[in-house]
Amino acid sequence: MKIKNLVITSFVSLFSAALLAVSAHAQITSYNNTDALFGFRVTSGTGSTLDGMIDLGPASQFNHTFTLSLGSIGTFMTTNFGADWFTRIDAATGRTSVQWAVVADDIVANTLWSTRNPSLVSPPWPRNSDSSQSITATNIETVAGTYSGNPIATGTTSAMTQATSVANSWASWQPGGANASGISFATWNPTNEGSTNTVLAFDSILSSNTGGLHGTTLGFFTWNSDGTLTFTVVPEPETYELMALGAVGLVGLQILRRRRTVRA
Amino acid sequence: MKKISTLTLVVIALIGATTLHAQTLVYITGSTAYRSATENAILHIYDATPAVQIAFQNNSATFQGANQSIFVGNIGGVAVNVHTSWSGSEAGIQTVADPAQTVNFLPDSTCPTNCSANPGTSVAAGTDAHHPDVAMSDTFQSTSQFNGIFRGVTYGALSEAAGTVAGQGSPVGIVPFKWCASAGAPFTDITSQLVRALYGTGKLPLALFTGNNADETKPVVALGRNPDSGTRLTSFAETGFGALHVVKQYQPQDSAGALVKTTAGTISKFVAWPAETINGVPVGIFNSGYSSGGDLSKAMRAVTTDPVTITATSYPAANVTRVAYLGTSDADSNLLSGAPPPALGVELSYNGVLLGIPVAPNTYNNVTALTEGQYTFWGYEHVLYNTATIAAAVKTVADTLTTQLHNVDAVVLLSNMQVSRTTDGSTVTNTYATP
Repeated sequence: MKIKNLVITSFVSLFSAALLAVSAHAQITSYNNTDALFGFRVTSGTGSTLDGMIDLGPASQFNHTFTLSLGSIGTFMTTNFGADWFTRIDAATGRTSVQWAVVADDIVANTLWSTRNPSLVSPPWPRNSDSSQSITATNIETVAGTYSGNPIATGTTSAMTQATSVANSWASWQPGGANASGISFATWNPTNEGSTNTVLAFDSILSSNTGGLHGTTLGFFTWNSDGTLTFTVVPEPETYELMALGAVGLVGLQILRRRRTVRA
Repeated sequence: MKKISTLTLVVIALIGATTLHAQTLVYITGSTAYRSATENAILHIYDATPAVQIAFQNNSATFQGANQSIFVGNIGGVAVNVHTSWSGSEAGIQTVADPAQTVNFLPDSTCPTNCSANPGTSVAAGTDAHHPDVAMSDTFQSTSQFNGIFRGVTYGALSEAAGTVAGQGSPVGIVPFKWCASAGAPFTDITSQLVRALYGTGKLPLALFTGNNADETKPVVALGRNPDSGTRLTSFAETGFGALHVVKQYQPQDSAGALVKTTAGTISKFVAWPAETINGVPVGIFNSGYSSGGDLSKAMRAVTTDPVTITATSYPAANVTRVAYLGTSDADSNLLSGAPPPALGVELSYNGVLLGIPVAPNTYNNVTALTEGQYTFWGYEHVLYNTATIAAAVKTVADTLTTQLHNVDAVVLLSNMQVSRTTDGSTVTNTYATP
């Protein structure tokens, strides 16, 4: 009986191990059109031959303030890019060695989303023709093609690293990269990147065949020193109107109270 | 008595099995652009007697254009069955470099019943799954995504076939390509710039091709191959778009929503090519295309309804032009020659240089625009195998085929080229001393 139990236990253990192995193999990155890709490259120091990408999920989710759950992203950053990844300065540029950005595209509608450093570029990114934005969309999809299907870094939700030398790597589409024509994704001039401590605006950019129009800032990304990413939404105009109405109401109430107090 | 009978049957079966094993079985896959040249080379390496027996898939009138074929006979006195199944250069590299992959071939049992001497017998497609030994490829493996680790799979390093004589190995020749437009196209040239714009957007105003502002409302639609195609990789490497760049291509459909892939089909609408998974690799919407250059060339010649729809917008048929990239064999035989109807398509010059169709008895070997480096839309043709896993007898056949292609049957012989390039899409320079 003991032997029989041992055999059953062994079989169950082996089966579980096999299942785990299958699960481990199944942990590969996947990307869907309109997903937001959080990417970064390292211009000096530890990990400077690598870049990284994380699929943040659909761009449509960026309509409220929240901090994204990316798993043990701090450990991932420290392991691959050094304990000083958040503060290390590249002497050649004077900026942090890690430069990051977030992009997304809708390849059917030719809508784009991109981060922007508000201190470098203002107002939001310009809206371009559907043809022009289509080219950028295929550029983003090409980078996404190098993200998809890779092993997910241990402990993270969807992070991966890649060699910057890979054709169409994230770094290759940033300033100085082989495909970038000097500017981010051959589109955003001079760059859609920021340093680790830069709060980046996130613009929605509908295509427009009318010149001179600009995208809409949905909110701001902050990359925290523990690796987490926070999105702070820009309140919509209706929200401002409601807040203003509320303020007027409060002032009115105060006046009424004072008058009643004086009469009493 | 019964035991003796059983024993006799076993012995006969063993003899039969031994006989089967005595035959060398070779499985070749890859480039559809070089299908015709390779099929001819296979025919030519077989001994004259006994006459090689041939069967081929009935998608084509000849074995040179078929998706699958089988040759049974002797090569250098050794019994060899060569099987071919063509699905594109990248698919060829993928399936040869990954030991877990198989490709469907015609079974050995096709012959002798359904085989005959050249020109062979037409049969239905085979589903005999085998790991292929040899890939014909229009690109270097270094250009392919199936090079090292991709999507969690390790693709082994493939070697250029050595050939049977030193200096006559792979690459085995030149594979020229053409840009083509559908019948009635009001332009005759395409530039690298226009290719990048067209395939980055899927459709462009005709005005960009003609310079005529009356053409701003008329669309030019991009058609093409799926990412398993070496023709596709070469096209986008050559034009500077990037061999592995995501593109936007439309799918021509008939009124029932079926893919049009014959010259007899009628295109009623163009839709974004649907997302699909090819050999386990997901391909996003717009980014896929035809699996065969033959089918694409036929769709380029098919007629359209009037009006014809592109996504949700209707256009007069006369206002819509299709553009595609094709190997010379498919372009010449299915789109640019033959008796109309449908009307013949248009070969476009590339960056102002026309390749043209050589008039018999000349071949592309005599087209000096190509051999002198004026026309640059070409690549090298490679015979690739894994030296660590290929059987010695199979390697011998592959090397014999390589030498045959190199010396005789390549679309353009390397010995005729006065120029070279180092990789796909790289700069073309002269091979002789600069004056």
